[in-house]
Amino acid sequence: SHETGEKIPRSFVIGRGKLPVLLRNLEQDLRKLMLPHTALHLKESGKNTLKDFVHVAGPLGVSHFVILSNTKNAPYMKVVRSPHGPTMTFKVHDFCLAADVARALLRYRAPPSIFKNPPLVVLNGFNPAEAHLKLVTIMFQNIFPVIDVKKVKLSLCQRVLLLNYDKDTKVIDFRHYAISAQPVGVSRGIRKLVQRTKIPDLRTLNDVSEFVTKSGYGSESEAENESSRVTLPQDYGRGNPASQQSAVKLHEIGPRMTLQLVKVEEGLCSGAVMFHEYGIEENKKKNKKKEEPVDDMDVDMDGEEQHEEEEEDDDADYYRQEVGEEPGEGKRNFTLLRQVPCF
Amino acid sequence: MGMPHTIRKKVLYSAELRFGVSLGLLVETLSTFSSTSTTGLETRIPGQTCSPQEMGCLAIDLAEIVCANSRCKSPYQLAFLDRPIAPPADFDELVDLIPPKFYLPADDNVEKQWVFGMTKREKREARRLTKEHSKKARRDRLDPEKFVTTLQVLQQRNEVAEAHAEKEEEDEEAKAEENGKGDAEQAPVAGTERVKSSQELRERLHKRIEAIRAERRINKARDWQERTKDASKKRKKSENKTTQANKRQKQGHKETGIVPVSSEKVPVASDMEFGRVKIDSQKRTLNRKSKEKLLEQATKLQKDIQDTEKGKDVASKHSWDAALSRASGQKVFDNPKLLKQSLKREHQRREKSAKKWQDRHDSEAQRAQEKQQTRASHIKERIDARKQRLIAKREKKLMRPGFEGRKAGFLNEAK
Repeated sequence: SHETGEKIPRSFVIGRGKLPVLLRNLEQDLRKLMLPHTALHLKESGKNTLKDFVHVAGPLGVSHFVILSNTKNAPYMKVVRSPHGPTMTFKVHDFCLAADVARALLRYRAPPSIFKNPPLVVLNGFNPAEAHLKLVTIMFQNIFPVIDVKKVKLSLCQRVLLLNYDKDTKVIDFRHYAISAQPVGVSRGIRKLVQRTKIPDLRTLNDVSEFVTKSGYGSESEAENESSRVTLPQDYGRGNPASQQSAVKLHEIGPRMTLQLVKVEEGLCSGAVMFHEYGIEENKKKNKKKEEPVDDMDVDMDGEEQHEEEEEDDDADYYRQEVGEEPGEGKRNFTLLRQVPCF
Repeated sequence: MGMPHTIRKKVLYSAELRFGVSLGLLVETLSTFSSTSTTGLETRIPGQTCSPQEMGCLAIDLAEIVCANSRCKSPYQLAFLDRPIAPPADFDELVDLIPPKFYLPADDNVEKQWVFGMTKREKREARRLTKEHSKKARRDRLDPEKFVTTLQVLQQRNEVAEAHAEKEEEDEEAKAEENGKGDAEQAPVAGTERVKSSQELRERLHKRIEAIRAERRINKARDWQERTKDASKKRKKSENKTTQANKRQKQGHKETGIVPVSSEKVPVASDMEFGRVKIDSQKRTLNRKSKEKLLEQATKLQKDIQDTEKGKDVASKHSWDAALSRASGQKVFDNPKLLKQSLKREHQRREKSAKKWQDRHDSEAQRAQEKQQTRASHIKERIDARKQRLIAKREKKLMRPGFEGRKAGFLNEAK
């Protein structure tokens, strides 16, 4: 980039194997998230292997891959650093598409201008003492370009990606928000006058002073978050000039996911397994199998599947108790994959 | 208001141009006009310090504009337009109607004018100041508590000018005393007599303004001369000390950025981390090891891993380190096979390019030789051709009819 003089990391978001419609939509949402340094309309055919992508990535300057795949039990997401880099495999427990978020919110606003700049990243709860968590933070920090603190324009930081790690459940919450700022200490009418371009409608007022005093002094939500007030060092959009107090608000856009780090491998979907959620020793047989064909993704998926079936034995009993059916029977309904998390 | 939006806008903007008054004031007067009751003007306008007569005059003029702009004029509007207009009673009231922007000369102290030789930073600063001042002026204009009429502005300026003149007088007196002149001549400009007519005050003000301007021009010229001298000196200095300057820049930049205001310390949770941020420019690694050395290191690493005692520890430690540095974008060369391949490729490339150069070198020598040969042959041909032509010319003379040619000698003569 011009400002920092460092290389901008670019990414490919790909799907492996046949993905159901929902996962294809999730792939598209993830591509939007990674904009502008990703291929939004990347065309992949079934015949493309991972090797093809790796060969193409070199000359194009693509450094990261985000690979979605689907198994009977759950979809998986791999974040890979090309060409020799480590691979992190996440199991997607739940996910929510951007369209679902849009339907759930009263005012969903994701104007295309906010996708012209890369998002900020905030990671919470990742204890750097644990090597695999440290690796996760470093990977996510380096998927997006470096920010030069002195030269960056504050008004271009319009999106943020939040990753929250819960050490009890070992689950990572993945959220994507748009940032907006509102001036503090003014009534709603004046705030809207200052932030929008519309001329206000004074038809219903008897006097101009009513425009100022009618909606009360201060907005309703101002009492809430004292911690969201900041003194801006630069102008941020309309009505938020530098060195004035503004309240920072987040609006959710884009997909929501609940991830769990399952595996970290040394190479690009190959190589020694450095970390495994359920223990490296127990999965050694599977690992040995994997090491033989290096780039073939299909074997990987089978390995995961087998491992999953083993682990799910306890879960199978639980399922039988609760549901009263054998696990695996009953209608295979893909909408179950999509469980909207509530919080 | 039953008026369509566009006409309302036009009325408001044309009125602003004509009177230079704020939009807020206009909206208020329009609303008062529309209510068709001119009583209670004072109560409707909170905190306004205009006299009711002035408000009435403004309202009437606005009404005139409205009537003039409306397409179908009612008989009442026509009657209103044809009404007899009386002249204003008081000169002061007239003056008050004209906004100070048009009536009084421009206030010089505020805007720092462009000077030849201003640096970019100064220009930027000046631009920022004028912007801020114009914003502040606009706020003050719209603030009902800060409303000043034209006469009041004039009075204020006169007071300021007088105070300035008095101060100058005192300074001159002090200087004269220091110099030791007993009977110091008092400067006639800063007069002790106070003439209270407004015209006198105005004239004195104008004179003072002119004097200050003339002084400032002289100062500017002097400053510019000094600055050019300094600039040439500085350039020479900077050429000698570029490296030191660069170092200083890297350590302590004071440009505005997202470094947060120091007074506010936002409490951040201890385990919260943010995206990658560049604060100080780091030097690129100057020590890049050669590929042979890297190969040595990689093979050594492999051997250590094979070693059964500590091999596992070494392997795991190395794999984590390699993963972390690869994730942060640094290249790790630990695969001896790949390094060997790369070395081989480089070697082949060098050989190939050396061969190409040699071929080119040889072929050039050869081509040069060939060219010389052809040149020499062409020259020789030309000489021979010339000789032949001369011989033929000579022989032509002797080719008379009945003549067999030149004497060639006897047939059996020994040659």
